[in-house]
Amino acid sequence: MDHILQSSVMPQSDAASARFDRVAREFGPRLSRLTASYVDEPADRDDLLQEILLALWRALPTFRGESSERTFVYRVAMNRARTFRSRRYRRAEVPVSAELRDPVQPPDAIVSDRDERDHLTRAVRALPASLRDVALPYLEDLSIAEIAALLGITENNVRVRLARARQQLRTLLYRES
Amino acid sequence: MTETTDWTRWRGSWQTRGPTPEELTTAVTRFHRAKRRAGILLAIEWAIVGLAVVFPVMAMRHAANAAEAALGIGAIVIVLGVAGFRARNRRAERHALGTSGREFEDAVRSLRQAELRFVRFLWLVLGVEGVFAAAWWYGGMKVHHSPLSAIAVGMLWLPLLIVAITLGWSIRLRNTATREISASSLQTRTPGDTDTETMI
Repeated sequence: MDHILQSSVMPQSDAASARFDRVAREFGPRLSRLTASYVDEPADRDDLLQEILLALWRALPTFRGESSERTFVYRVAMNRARTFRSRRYRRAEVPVSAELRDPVQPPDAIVSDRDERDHLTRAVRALPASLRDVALPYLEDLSIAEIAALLGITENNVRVRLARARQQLRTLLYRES
Repeated sequence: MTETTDWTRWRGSWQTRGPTPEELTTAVTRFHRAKRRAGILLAIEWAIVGLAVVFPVMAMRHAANAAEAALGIGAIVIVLGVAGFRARNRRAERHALGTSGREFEDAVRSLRQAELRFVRFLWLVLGVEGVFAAAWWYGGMKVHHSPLSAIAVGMLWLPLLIVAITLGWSIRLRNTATREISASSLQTRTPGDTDTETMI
């Protein structure tokens, strides 16, 4: 991906282009995972990733270092993902897929990493927006303080939402007795 | 399983997911194409604004009376107002993108409400414009008493077409704004969202 990004000529200044290239390179895989947790269809995911990259390209020149760059990138990406979802779907929440509603095997029975990963992605996507907004950055190793800054809520509120997200993820992933 | 074990396990699984090199290449190609398209659309939009200002200015040089001149000035003011509104909204949204989820939600809601107010104003203007144009055309045809030339027919239908396009665009803007306002109120809060429950 490096050579593709480096060969791109941006209409912004060289410094701004280089900065965008670096950010896209560094955060590309994370942004790709983020799109999968907001929309299901591969075509929608491609569209969303494109929208996020465009939003970053426009927003990066406004970044003045008030937060960490990582927080800023996540803010832009999640804000864009929210508006994308509300524009694309008439309802705020996408229904939980039938596959997830079916009885799911206990953790030990998950046959492969890929199965577990796919189940997890679908489960995160099925979370209510307020819980997904905390679960997603937490899965990406952001600290509780960073998530609070990202969403503009208190750290306590983040902890509460994370506890709820965990409960719901467990319910969605495993059929607990 | 404990809280920590769950999140650690899920993180391990989550972070193994990544796009393939082909997917990344496609994403970058699509981004560059979209960026070019956005640039072209912006240039076209400003060219239309430029033309929409230049035409009335040229026409005003041959204005028959003060009323026609006032009409031209009114058209220029409206065109510049619409262009300014769109540019201001775009800038505000760009700045809001880098703010926290809650600030962004507030900013977007406020922008969409401004759009709804703008649409209502636009409908008022289009209604008045329609009434004025209908009287103008009816009176004009009675005065001329003769079949209209091709240019005159064009002059008759072009404003109608512009009014229809503007109406269609404003309806779309209103629908999008309404949808985003109703969606944003559900996005970041869940019932009973407090700081004081069980925490991790």
